[in-house]
Amino acid sequence: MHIYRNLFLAMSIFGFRIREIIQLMQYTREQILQLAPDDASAKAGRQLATKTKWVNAHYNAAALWGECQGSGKNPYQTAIDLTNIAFKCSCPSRKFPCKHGLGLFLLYAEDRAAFTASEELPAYVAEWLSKRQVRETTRETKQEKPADESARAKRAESREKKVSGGMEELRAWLGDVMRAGIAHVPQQAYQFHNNITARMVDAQAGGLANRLRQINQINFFEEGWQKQLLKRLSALYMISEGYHNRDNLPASTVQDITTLIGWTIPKEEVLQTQAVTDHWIVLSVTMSEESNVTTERIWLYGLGTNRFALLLNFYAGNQPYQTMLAPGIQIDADIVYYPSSVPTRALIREQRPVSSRATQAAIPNSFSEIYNNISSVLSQNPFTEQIPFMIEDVKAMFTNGRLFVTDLEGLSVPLLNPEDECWNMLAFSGGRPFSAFGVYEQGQFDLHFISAARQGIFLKS
Amino acid sequence: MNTEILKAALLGTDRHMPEIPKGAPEVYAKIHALPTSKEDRFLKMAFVSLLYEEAGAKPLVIDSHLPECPPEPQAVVTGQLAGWVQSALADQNDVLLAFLIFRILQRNEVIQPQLVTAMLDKALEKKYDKQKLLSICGTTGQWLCNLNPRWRVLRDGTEEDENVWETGSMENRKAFLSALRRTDPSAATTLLENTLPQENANNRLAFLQLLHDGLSLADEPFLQKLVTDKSQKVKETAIGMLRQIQGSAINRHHLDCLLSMLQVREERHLLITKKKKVVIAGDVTPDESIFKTGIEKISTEKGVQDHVFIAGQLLSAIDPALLSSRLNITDQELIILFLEHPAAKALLPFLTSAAVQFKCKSWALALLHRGDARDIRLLNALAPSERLPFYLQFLNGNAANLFAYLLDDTYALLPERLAEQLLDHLSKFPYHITQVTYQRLALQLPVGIMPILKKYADDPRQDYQLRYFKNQASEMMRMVELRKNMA
Repeated sequence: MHIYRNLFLAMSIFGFRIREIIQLMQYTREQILQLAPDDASAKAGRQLATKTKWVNAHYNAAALWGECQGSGKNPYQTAIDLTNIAFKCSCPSRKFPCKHGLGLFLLYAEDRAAFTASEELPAYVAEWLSKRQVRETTRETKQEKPADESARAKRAESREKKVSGGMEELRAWLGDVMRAGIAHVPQQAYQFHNNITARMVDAQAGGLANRLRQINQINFFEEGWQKQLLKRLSALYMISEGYHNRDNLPASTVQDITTLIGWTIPKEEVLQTQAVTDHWIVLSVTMSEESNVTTERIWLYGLGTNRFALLLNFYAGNQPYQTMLAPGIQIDADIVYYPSSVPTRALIREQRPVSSRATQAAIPNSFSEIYNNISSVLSQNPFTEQIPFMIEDVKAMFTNGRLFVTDLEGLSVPLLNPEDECWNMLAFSGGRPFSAFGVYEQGQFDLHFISAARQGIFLKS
Repeated sequence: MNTEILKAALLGTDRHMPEIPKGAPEVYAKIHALPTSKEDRFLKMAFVSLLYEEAGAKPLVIDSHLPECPPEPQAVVTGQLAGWVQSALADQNDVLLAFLIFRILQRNEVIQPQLVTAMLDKALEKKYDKQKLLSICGTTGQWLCNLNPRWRVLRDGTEEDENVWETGSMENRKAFLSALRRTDPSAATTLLENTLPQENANNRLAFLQLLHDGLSLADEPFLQKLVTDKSQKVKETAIGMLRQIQGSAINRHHLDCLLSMLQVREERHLLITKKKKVVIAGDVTPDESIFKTGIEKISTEKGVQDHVFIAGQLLSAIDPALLSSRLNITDQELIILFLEHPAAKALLPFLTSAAVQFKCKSWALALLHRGDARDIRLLNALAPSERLPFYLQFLNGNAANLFAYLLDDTYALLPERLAEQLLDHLSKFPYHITQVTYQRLALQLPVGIMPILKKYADDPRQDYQLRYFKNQASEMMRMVELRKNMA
């Protein structure tokens, strides 16, 4: 994945002087390349973004379509749904979107003159669009099957039992670890929690198993591992304690605890909750892979409500990505949040073509304010690991070969970004003030996007 | 409190339980008073302590200042060109990147700051001209080079130039010597004169070969010393170079020998006209000493007479203009006489060598007009506009050489007719050049060639060679279009 590729925006995201942008104009070259499933597809797509490769290319308000002469006898038929970005191609590629889809979209972004306006859709495009329409309608009207309440209650009871058993074992294990001390842990860092992790999987406490696996991310060769390990182990203990005392806790805290243990809330249930309607901007899209499962994290910011939202998607193996959102894209959408004491994870209930609007957002310019917010979030949910933030008028600063970001008051925070991202940030900002979006994690700040002089770059994508 | 907590965590609660300091928040005392196990109390205290620390963290005050990057005086590349630079960097397309760098330099512009780090990393690679890359990185590049030790070498030159000769790698030393030879030829000779005895035979040979560039009479004393070198290869190379230096003792000796063997005679032709002819005397025995100066006695080729072979070798290192004047004849006449000589075929490689070395236009033209020239460097003796009719004779022998010759650093567009002929040849022999050369060729194809490329790209035949060329034609169309859009 092109995790560290830079992207550029012609428009200013920070400062929110949003110009008239119609849906068709929204995707820039860089954003389209972000939709590529891998670097090879992005490269191949770029090579097809020339009119000589296309036998014909057409557009109208709903779609783009064209025929690309490949190595076969007949040209491939490619179409793009512009209302809710989706790709279709007759080529045999298993990648999604394929290079033809990307090439056609890129050509449209770069050379509009290569396309002919056409109101009439060819049969293959019309058929595909109508099928998509039918699928959307079916999805909306899909009725949930009547559930077998007694079976469900039985399953829930059985799981509760399993989790309770597992939780007791976890508490006993943590007690044993603490009794003996953690000084010897680095010698067997990757094995010492293996058995209890497996036990948590058996006990259907997947969230706790994941938290235990995250111990592997600690660098035991670096000073400070003691605090990190202790933090993780004590947090696990406090989750178990919270579960134990769940009857005395507020509902939202219980919800946080059960989510951390591994109980999931069905999407359908979340979609039924109160939606937040806003004009959202995609601040970053990052991918990470673990045990053959790719996690897609999309951070959104509501321009009207000043709220962050995190869309989380999981893909197993080579499963094609479903969300066609690239950094910098703006959408009008109804978003529903998963219940929590600090609601952050969200789902898009409905997405509509973007309508332009000018708006002002209050972005802090002081790290003191950011830290106050961190304190506030931690006081509501002490297990929060990622806290998004935006800040303006900050500068990069070098000390002892390490990069910091400093606000107007001269207060600095250390950066979590890898070295190459730090240099990119420095090159782009030139040591001058910039605005940034990032995520606070483990006491450090990870910048995802920075902007200055009406331009921005995505450090992560 | 955290220190106590960490101490207990490391030692284990069996050995140490944290003491609650005076004035610590009340919560610790409450936890301490719980009627539970030590481990339960410890884990709760640890969680609270670490949470307090994180939630109460304050930003740092750092006494440091980073100077701002000076404003960029040059225009910054934008639009499609910026996109192409980004793509070329991402795809590691070196051919396209080199062209884009050339264009940006030509436009006197600089790349966008966000591309500078990737470009500086490219500049660290050997294949790129560091100065050119640094120049398109503008003030941002200079500023970053001051900050990052990894890039500082780009600003300061190759690792402490002063020590490169003593401590650098062989490649760096060769680069250093070549550069010195270009800027100050005599300094390069002096450097070698002082240090060559300490080098091994391979190094001596490698460094000596670099002196070919800018060879002059001033190098004679140094080369003369190497004639007695222990290494046979070094000795032969030094003699070869001395032969090439016009006016050197060996060269003069060879000229004298050659003049004693050559004669231009005027003979009656068809009773009424007179015709000149060049005669290579077979009865003149050359001085034995010339066989110790790189001249072979007997040819390994069948049917070549020894005196013709000796004269040929002597000819190859004598300036045609000087030889003609000594024979009281023009160089045009002289080459014609040589080519009419009964042993002309045996003399051809030597005549070619002389024409190439001394860039003798009349000789080069005469040899090229024969249509069987093999050394493409003959074209160097002609003005670019005069070369066109001769390119194709080099196509069948070694196409790669011709393309290497045609594809220059100025990306000059090839004449349409020539481009057409090249494509025609490549359509028949598509594997004569590599994919990279196809890309490179495309950047010098004129826009007018597009219909022909399209014809090849649309060729419905499925023969494997044609299919390959079809793909190349299609890719070339993309590149031609790219260049056109950049204009």
